[in-house]
Formats: sequence, structure tokens, C-alpha cells
Amino acid sequence: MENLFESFRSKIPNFNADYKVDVFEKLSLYGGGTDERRDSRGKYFETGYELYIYAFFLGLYRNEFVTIPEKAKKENFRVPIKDWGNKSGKILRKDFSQMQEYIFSALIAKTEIDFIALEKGEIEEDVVIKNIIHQFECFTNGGLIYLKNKYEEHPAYFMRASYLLDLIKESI
Amino acid sequence: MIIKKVTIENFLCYYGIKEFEFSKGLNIILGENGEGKTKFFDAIEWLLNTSYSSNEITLISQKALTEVTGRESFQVSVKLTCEHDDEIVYITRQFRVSKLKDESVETTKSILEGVKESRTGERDIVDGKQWLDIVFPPEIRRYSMFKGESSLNILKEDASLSNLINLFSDAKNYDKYASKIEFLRVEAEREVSENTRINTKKKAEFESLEKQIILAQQKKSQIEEQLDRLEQNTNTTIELVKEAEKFVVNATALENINKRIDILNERKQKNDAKIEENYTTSLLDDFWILMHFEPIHNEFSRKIQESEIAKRQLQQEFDISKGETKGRRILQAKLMNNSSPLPIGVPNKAVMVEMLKDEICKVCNREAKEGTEAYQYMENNLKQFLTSLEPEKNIEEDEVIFKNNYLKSLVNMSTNHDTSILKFRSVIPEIQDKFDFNKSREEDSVRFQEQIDKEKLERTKILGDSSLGEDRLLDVIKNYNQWQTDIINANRSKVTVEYQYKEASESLSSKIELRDKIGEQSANNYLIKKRDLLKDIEKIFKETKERKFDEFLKKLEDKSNEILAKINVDAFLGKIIFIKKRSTTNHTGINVELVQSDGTPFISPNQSLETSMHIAVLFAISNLAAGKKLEEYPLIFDAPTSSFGESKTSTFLNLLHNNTNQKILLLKDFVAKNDDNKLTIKKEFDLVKRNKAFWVRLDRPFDNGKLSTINTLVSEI
Repeated sequence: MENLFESFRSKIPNFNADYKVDVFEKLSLYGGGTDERRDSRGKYFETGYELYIYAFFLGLYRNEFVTIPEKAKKENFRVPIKDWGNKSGKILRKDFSQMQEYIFSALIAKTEIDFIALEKGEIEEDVVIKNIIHQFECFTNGGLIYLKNKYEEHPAYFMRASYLLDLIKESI
Repeated sequence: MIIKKVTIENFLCYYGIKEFEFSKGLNIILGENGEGKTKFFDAIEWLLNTSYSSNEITLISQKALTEVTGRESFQVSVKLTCEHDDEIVYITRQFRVSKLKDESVETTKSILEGVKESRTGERDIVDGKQWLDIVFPPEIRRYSMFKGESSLNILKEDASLSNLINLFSDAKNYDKYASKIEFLRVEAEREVSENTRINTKKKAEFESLEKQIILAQQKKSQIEEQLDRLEQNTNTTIELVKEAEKFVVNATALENINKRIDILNERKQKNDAKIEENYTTSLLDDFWILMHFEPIHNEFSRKIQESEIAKRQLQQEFDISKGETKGRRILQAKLMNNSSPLPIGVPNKAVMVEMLKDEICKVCNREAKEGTEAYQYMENNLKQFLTSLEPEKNIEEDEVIFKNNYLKSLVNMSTNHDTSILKFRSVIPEIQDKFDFNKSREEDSVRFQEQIDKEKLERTKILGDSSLGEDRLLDVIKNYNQWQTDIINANRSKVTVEYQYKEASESLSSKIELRDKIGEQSANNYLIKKRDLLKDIEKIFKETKERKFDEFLKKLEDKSNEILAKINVDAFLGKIIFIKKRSTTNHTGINVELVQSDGTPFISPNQSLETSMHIAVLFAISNLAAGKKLEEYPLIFDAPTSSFGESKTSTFLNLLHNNTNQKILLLKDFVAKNDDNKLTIKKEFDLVKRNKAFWVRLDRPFDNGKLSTINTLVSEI
């Protein structure tokens, strides 16, 4: 049976490499942060893709859909979506497969897809998936830009335990 | 021996020549702290302690050093004028000090000089060290000089007691013969043994017994040593327990507070551990990030539903227009009255089977009895689903409108996510609950901290009341409990080892008896009688020595109690008892203890009472010495009664006066400041009976910061 979700899960989405230093290294251990740096600099996410998911939802709720500039250098985690959260090795952390479904369903909701044409075979699955991944990257990019601006405005706010939660709460 | 005079010259605070002329009986030297009392004591100690090589430069009067001009030199000395056997002996320890050009100081090594003056007035130079030991024997000095109250407990060391026995008890008289008799007895036994071996037919048995006796003796000695060690360890532990008991009341209170603090800390930690502020983790792990997801899910669901409906309509139109549908499709289309049919498999197989079994349509909540139209509809629907699972063999490729079926899995996902709506809606209340919970725990944490701070304040008060620091106080309670256990265990072991000792002794005796019996049957009668006689003599000596020792202790104990009663008039008395430590071996020691009238030990006597006890024992020793008509020796005490009040000191001094032995006491009592802030001797001192009294005080004015202005004056009062 044809399954868009499985195809989606096998992809590796990109992000604007500019935010690697500006956002990922400041708010996660991605990029070689240590526990000490995490504590002192307010790094809240253990992995880069956790921050990616967070940024996606932030962009989604705030409707911050920003295409990554064509000329921008892109980067990714070299790990397909299906493996996000599965290989954390942290006993107390939960599996992210359900989270992947919610992300996917949100992307289906937000992406223009002619399902009849798809079912009839008039358009290729790859085209649809590419479109979905593009949506994923754009919302995430919007979220990352928002985070970057927030960090630049008030870096100390990020030391507050509830700050990232508050940003989500306030996003609608 | 009597000290007639002490002359101190340029020694520490004594600038120039200062003399103290003493008499028999009680001599008192009064002085405020820091005015020269202890330096007097130090001067005598320096003179007597000939084995101690002193650093001369540190003993020079700084005033003398300042006063001397040019390249002059002067003498530093302490001279003892003693009366011994109706002769006068002068013992002087002295050295010379020279000031060099560059103001540096040079001293000679100190030397001890002796001069003996006969009754006729003839003076001879004698060996100072030799004569010092004659007039004031070193073994006596240790019972003559006492600095501070703590030095008074002279029986603390086992060696002190054996020393005392040697000095004062008749028991010592037996010692010199004991080894000789033991030698003779061993010789006699050897003679019997050799004689027996030559003559007896039972030679093998005799020799075997001799070997067994050697082994039994070795075993007995080993047990004896073990018993000794056990005894020593127990005594040490008992001493430690006594010392600890002085602090143990506070230590227990401290331990209780620390336990309470530990419990509170633990509760606070447990409470704090409940405060989870990892909200960011919860965003993903607990799906808090889905707090605004419901509209998005609805959008997704609607989109999929609309696409699915559109697809089915297209399929239906396609099927009708083609007119070549399968029976099930026609039937389905007709039954649906041209509306879009539900997807095949909705409701699912399990639900359909259940509805058929119950004969109820649970979708519209109506009866569907077997044979009715509704029942048949459900039955057909189930058949359709089961048929749909089989590959459609008869439909040709070109008859299909939809080549793909992506929507099916999306429909399933949408249906599944419908059940998550409750989850999306519960995120906000869940976060609020978490915040409320954490806030409540934080309030608890503050309360715990307040309780901990309160307990810590209480602990500070306890520590402030104790002379020990917290760590040591805690060590005391820890060790105290351990020591108590050690003593119980040691006593248990002791019972066992003592039993082993008894067994070993009996076994040895029986072997000796057996051997002797064989010997008696064959050895020379004269040799046997000689051996037995020597055995008897040895036994008598040992028993007599033991008895004399006991008598000495009894006398010492009685005398000590008699003196204690006089010292402690109108105060708690108690009774001094001398407890003989184990007597199975030759190492005998005693414990001196203070007990109540009912015989129970007096726990933690205060310092004044302990001092009274030790002084009573000291004087008892001194008295016994006098009773033995031995040479008397002076007793010199520096601040022996610092824990006594002035009134008790007076009583004590009057008691001392009754005793004719020479005593020199250095006291800070009875010195006061008058209205002009000048030092004076109190009137109360007039009531103190004494033979001689002196007052040592610093020559005023002086500069506190300059030793070169310090000079102690001595005046008789």
C-alpha cells in the first residue's frame, strides 16, 4: 500500500547553515557543546533535531513560513526523520515516532496536494514529498529566525527554565 | 632533705640576685599571673634537670643584658642550699654571658657545681651532679615537683606504682631474694631430674613428662601475655571512656540535633527532587508542544476527509458510467441510494462481528435481528470487507480509475489522531498542574530550610557551651559508643582467656606433680627434700611479697581517704579506692577511683574533686614515707589548686601546715588590686597558717612590650 508518511520519514530535511552557530549551538548540544556550556549558556535541547522540531512548531503556530534563500548554505543532521528520537539512548526520553506523525499531519494540512491526481497517478509521489519537506524546512526556518531574534534581544531570558515553553504558549 | 635557700641570679625575669629563704613545713609564694611564680618553678626544674641540655641564651634576664655595658660579662645561675644529714650542700647550675662588640651575645655551657659544708664549717668542692642525686634522688623528684593540677595524677602510669613500691613498701625487700631462691629451686629440680634419669626404669616416661612440662609452661606464658594485652587495652579504653564522659552530655545533645538536621535535609532533598522544571523536555516527551495543535489536526482531518469523499464519488460515477461493475458494487451503489458509500472496512471487522453476534446495529443503535434487512446489510458489509482482502482477479487494468491508494493510510492516521484531541486539550491544564505542584514544593522547601536553620542555631549554642569543637565532640560520641562495646567484648574475652589460663595452670601443676612423683620414687631422698624445701621458701616469699604489697595499698588507701576528708570539709567527699589490676602475672598495676558512699563509681568528678583526690594520694605517699622514717623530701607545687575557690584553698593550706614535711607552694590566690589599682595581699591571708611566705611581683613601672624592663622583686611577708 502506498504510504506518504513512510516516504516522508525517510527524508533528511535541511536548515539554513547560518543558524548552526546562531541558534543550534546556543540552544542545544548540537555542534559539540558540553554539559557545562549547556548550563552556563542556557542550552535546552540535547540534540539538534529536537530544536528543529521545536522551531518547526514555533514557525507553524506563528505562521512564520520563510523559505531558505536559494543562495544560503544548507545543512542537515545526516539522520532521516524516522531515526529522530529513536537513537537517543536516554532511557527516560520517549520515542519520537508519534511526534513524527503529528509533524507529518500538520504538513499535509498546510501543503497544497492534489490527492485525486496523486491517486490517479497523474503526479509523482516524489513531487508531493519534496513539497512536504519544503514546507517542513520553511516553517522551521521561520521558527529559527524568530528564536535567533529573541536570543539577540534578550539572551538572559533563555536561562529561565520555562522560557521556551512560554514562547510556545504565547505563539497563538 | 630540706631546701634552706634558693638563689636565682639573672634568670629570666629575676634580674640581679634574688633569694628565697625557706623553712621546714609550709612555704607559700604568692604572685599574680605573669609576675614570676612559674619562672621560679622553671628555675628549680632547670637546676634539677641535669640531663636536659638547655638553650642558655633563652634563659638570660633581658634586663641584665641591657644593663651590662661594654665588654662586661655576668653570671646566670640557680643555687640550691640544702640541708642533708646535718650537712649543708650547695648545688649551683650556672653559665656566663658576654656581650660582644657588635652587641651579639655569647654564653658558656651551663655547669653544675657542688660544695659540701660539714658541721664544723669546712667546705669541700664536690661533684655537683653526684651530690644532687644524693640529696635529691631522681626517683624522688618525680613525686616532688608538680606543675599545674594535671600533673598531680601520678599513679596514672603503671611504672609510677612499682617505683613507689620500691621506695616505700616492704615488698621490695623480698624482691632481692626472690630471684636467688628461684635460681636455687631450679637447680634443685635439675639435680632431682638428673638423678632420676640415671636411676629410674621409668626414664622414658619421666623425660616425656619433662617435655610436656616445657610445652605447658610455654602455653601458660602465651596465655599470660594474651591476658596482659587484653588487660592493658581494657584499661586504656576505660581511661578514654572516663575522659569522654566529661563531654558526653553535650555530645549526645549534638548527636540528636545532627540527626534531626540530617532527617530535615533528607526530606528537603526528596522534596526538591520532586520539583521538575525540565519543561523543555516535556514539550516533546509529553507532547506539550501540541497545546495548539487541535485546529491543525482538524485542518488535516478535513482535508483528508474531503479528498476521500471526492475520490469515492469519482469512483462511483466511474462505476455507474462504465455499467460494468461487479455485483457487489452495483448492490452497494443501489443500497446507498446514490450517496457516497462508506469506505469498505468501516466499521471494522471486529465491530461488525460483534454487532452481528449481538443482533444490534451499534452505529445507529437499533435492533437488527437475524433474518431482518438490517442484519443482512451488516452481513453483506462484512462479506464485502472479507472479499476486498482478496486480489481482484477479474477486473482489467484499463478499468481502474485510481492507480494509487495513498489516502487509505492517511484516513487511518486521521482516525487515530481523532482520539488525540483529548490529549491536545489536556496540555494546558497539565502544565498549570505542574506549575502549581512545583510552586507548592518550593514553598515546602523554604519551610524545611527554616527548620534546618533553627536546628543549626541550636547546634551553635551547644558548641558554644562546649570546650570541644564540633568534629571532636562528634568523635567523642562516636568513639564513646564504640569504646563501651569494646569494654564489654574485652570483658567477655577476658573470662574465656582467664579460664584458659586456669586450665593451663592446672595442667602444668598436674604434670609437675606426676613428674615429681616419678622422681620421688627413684631419686635421692636428700635431693628431693632439698628441692621441696626450696619450693616452699619460694612460695612463702611470693605470698609474703603479695601480702606486703596489699598492706601497703591498704595503708595508702586509708591515709588518702583520711586526707581527702580533711581537704574536702563540708563538700562532697566520696571515697578513694585502689583497685588492683589483675594479679595473675608479675605486672601489677592499680586504678585509683573515686566512689560514692554506696560504692558506685562517681562519674565525671569535677576538676576540684579530682585535684583533691590526687593531692590526698600524694600526701598519703609523703606521709607513708615519713612513717618509714625515710629521708623526707620537699614537695614543690606550682598552682596545684587553681580549680579550688579561695576558701577551700585556705582550708587546704591549713591542712598542709599540720603536716611537718617541707612544702613550697606557688599560688595566685590572695593577691588583689586595691582602690588605687595597685596590687596588694588580701587580709584573708593573715588567717592562713604557714611557716614562711613570699610575694613575687614585677618592679613597676615596666613596659609590657619590652622584656628589658622586667624585673621580679621578692619580698617576705
